[in-house]
Amino acid sequence: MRMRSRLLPGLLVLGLAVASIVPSADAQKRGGTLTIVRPTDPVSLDPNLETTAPGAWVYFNMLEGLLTLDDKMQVKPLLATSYEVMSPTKVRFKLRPNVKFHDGTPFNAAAVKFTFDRALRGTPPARWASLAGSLDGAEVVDDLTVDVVTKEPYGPILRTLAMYCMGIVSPTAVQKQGADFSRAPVGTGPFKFVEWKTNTHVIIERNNDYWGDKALLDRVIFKVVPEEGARMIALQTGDADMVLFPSPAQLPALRKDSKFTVHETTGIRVVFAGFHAGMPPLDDVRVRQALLHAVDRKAILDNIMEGSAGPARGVLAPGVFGYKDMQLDKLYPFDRAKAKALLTQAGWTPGPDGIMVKGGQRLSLSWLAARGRYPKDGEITEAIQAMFKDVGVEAKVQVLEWAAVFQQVRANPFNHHMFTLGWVTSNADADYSLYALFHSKQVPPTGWNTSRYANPRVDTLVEQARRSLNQTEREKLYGEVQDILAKEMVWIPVYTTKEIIVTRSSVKGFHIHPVEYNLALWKTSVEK
Amino acid sequence: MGGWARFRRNRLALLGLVLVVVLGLTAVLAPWIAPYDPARQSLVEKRARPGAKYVLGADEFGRDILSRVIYGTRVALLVGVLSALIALAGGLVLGMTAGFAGGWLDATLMRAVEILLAFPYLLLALAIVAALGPGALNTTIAVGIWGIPAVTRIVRGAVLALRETEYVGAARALGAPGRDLLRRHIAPNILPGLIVYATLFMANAILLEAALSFLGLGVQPPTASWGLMVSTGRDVLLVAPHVATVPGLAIMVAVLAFNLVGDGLRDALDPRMRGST
Repeated sequence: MRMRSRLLPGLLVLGLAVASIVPSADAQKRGGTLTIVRPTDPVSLDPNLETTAPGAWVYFNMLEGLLTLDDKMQVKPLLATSYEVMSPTKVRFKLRPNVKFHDGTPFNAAAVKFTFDRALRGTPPARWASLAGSLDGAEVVDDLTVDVVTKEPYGPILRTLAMYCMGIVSPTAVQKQGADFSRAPVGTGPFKFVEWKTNTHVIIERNNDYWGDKALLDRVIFKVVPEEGARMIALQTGDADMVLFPSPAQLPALRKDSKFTVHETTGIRVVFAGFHAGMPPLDDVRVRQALLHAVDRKAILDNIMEGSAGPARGVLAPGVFGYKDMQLDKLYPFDRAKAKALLTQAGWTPGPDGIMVKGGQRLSLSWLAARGRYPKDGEITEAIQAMFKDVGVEAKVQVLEWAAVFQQVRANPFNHHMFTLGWVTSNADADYSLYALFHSKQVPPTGWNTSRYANPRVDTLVEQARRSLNQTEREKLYGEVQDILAKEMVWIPVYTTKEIIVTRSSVKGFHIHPVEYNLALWKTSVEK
Repeated sequence: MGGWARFRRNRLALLGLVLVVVLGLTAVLAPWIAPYDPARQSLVEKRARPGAKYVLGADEFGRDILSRVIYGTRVALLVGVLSALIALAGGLVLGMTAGFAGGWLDATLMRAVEILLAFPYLLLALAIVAALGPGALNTTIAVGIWGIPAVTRIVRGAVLALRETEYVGAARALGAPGRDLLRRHIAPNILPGLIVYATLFMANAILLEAALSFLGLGVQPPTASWGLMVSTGRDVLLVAPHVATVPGLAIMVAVLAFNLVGDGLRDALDPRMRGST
C-alpha cells in the first residue's frame, strides 16, 4: 500500500531552488579565515564516535545528512530532495544527483546504506545509534533512491534523520582510512578537513566542489581554550573572531560595544535539579512539591544566569515538537510558607538545628553535581542548596568532575537523592525526551530515567505516541504526558539554555541555531 | 643567648608570629567576629563592591566575603595543623625505624620514600584525593601523606648522625635498650629541626589545600575555603576582581606568616644554618 505523506505536508520544497533565492552571497566577500575559541577538543570527528558538541561543531560543516533542521526548527531537505511514506516502517527518499564526497567518490544510495550499516550494525554500534530510536537501516532501490526502514512504526523518523549527527560518510574513505577516519572525516559538506592537532586546534577549509552555494570563508580554525576568562581575552585582543560559551557576566558590556556582536537564540536544553523519586523521602510527592516551592527560580535566572538563559517552563524546551507549557510558575510559585506547609503535611517537623525531622530522621538529601558541564551548573546547585536550607532541608552536595558524575548517573542503582543535569532533545521531537526520561522501563543503563519515575499511564502514552505517524495525535498524547508530569514533578527545571555566541563585528552573515550542535559556518564571512 | 631571645630580635619573624596568632584567633573566634553567616546567600547582592554593608564586598551568590575569609581561616589552619601532625607522626616512625634499624629495612623504606618524592607534589596529592574522594578530611590526609617522605628523610638523617655521637655511644655502652636510646637520647635532639620544618610545612600545606580546593577536590560547598573562593572568583575576575583577590590575599598572608615564623625559628634554634635558605 502506498500512502501519501501526511507528515509535515508541503515541507520538502526542492531545497536548491529556495537556497538560491536567499541574497546572502552578493553582499559578502569571499575569503578570510575565521578563528573560533571553544572550551574543549572533540572526542572524535566521526559521528559514530562523537555526538557531543565539541566534535559536532566541526563535523556539522563537513558532513551532511538526508535532511536537516533549519533555524526555525523545521525539517528541510539536504542530500535528499523529496520523500514518500511507503508503509508505517518505510520511508522512500529521492537523493540529490551529481553530489560528490570530498574524496571524489559519488554520493548515492549505496553510501546511505553504507553509513547506516556502519553505524547500526557495527560493533559497538555508533554513539548515535541510541539516539536514532527504532531506525533499522537503509535499502538501496536504485542509485538515487533509498528506503529508510524502522523496526516498528516510528513517529519521530524525519526529525531523527535531520539530526546533526546523521551525516553520510564516504564509503571509500572509511575503507581506506580505517580507524584514522575518526580524525579526518570525509563527507559532502561545504567545508573539508585539513588538520587536527589534539588539544590545540582543528582546521577545515572551503570545499570548492560543493554542490550548492559554496562557503565564503577560506578556512575555519577551531582553537581549544578551556578558561572562560582566556577565551574572552582572545576575543578582545582579536586573536579570535568567535567565542563559544562566552562569559555571561561580560555579555551586558559586549552588547553595548560596537566592536562585537552577541548572537543569541532560545536553545533546546533544559538544565534541572533531578530527584530520585524512588528514594525516601523523595518518593513522597508532597516533599518533591515542597522543594519546588522552596526554589526561587527567577532569582537564579536574574542573578546567576544574568540573561544568558530562559526560564524552564517544563521538562521540554519551547521549539521541541510536542512541547507544552507546564505552567510551573502558577503551579509551584516560590513560596517558603507553602513549602513548609507541604513538608508539615508530609509529617516533617522542625528539628533542633532548624532542619526538618520525622521519626528521628533528618531531612538531609545527598546531591551529586558537576561544575562546568552546563553553564553555571555548579552555581545553581549551590544556590538551590542554600534555598533548601531556608525551608529546613539540608542538601549535602558532592561536586565531582563530569566524567565521574556521568558514570554514577548512568549506573543502577543510583545512590543519591538528587543530581544536576542538562538534557537536550537532540532530534527536537518530544519522544526523545519523554520516552527516554520518564518511561518506567528506561531506567539506566537502558535509558535515561535517572529519576526512577514510574507511572503506567505515562508509559502507555509515550509508547502510543512513538508508534503513531499522525503528528496531531502525537502532540495531544505528549500534552497529556506533560500534564501528568507537572502534578508529580520529579525535576526542578531551572533554565532552558539560550544559545549565545559572541563574534567580533567583522564577522558577517553568521546565524546562530537553537540546537547547539548545528554551528553552520558556510554563509559566514570575515571582513578584515 | 637563648632561642627565644634570638627569635625576638628578628623583626620579620616577630611579624610572622603576630600574623600567625591573629590567624589562630580568627579561626577560633570565627562565629563571634564574622559579621554574617558565611553560607547566607542574597542573590540580588551578587558581586557587591566593598562598602558599608559588606566590608570586603560580596561574592557571586551575594555572600559576605569577609565572613567567608574568616571561616576559611578555620579550614586552612585545621588542614595545615592536622596534616602537619600526620606528616610528623608518619615521618618520625618511618625515619627512626629506617635510621636506627639500618640494613635491608632502611634500604626498602628509603627507596619507597624516594619513589614518593619523585612525584610532583600536586600529582601525588591529586592521586590520593582521587583514591579517597574529595572533602575536607580527605584533603587533610592527602596533604599529610604528601609531607611524610620529606620528614622521613630528615629524621633518618638526624638519627644516623646522632647514632654515632659519643653520648649515644656512652648510653649504649651502659646497656640502654634501643627503645630508650631513641626515646630519651635521640628524639629530643631531632625535635628542634622538626619544629622548624613543621612550621614551613604548614605554609605549603595551606597552599596545597588551596590548590586542591581550587581544582574542586578539596572542601565542598558551601563550606568556605580560600582556594574554592579564588576558583569561583576567577570567572568574574574582569567584572568583580575583589571576589578572587580577597581570598588570594588571605592565602598570601597566611603562607607568608608561616614562612617568616619558620625562618625565624630556624635561625633561633639551629644557629649553624642561620642565613642559609
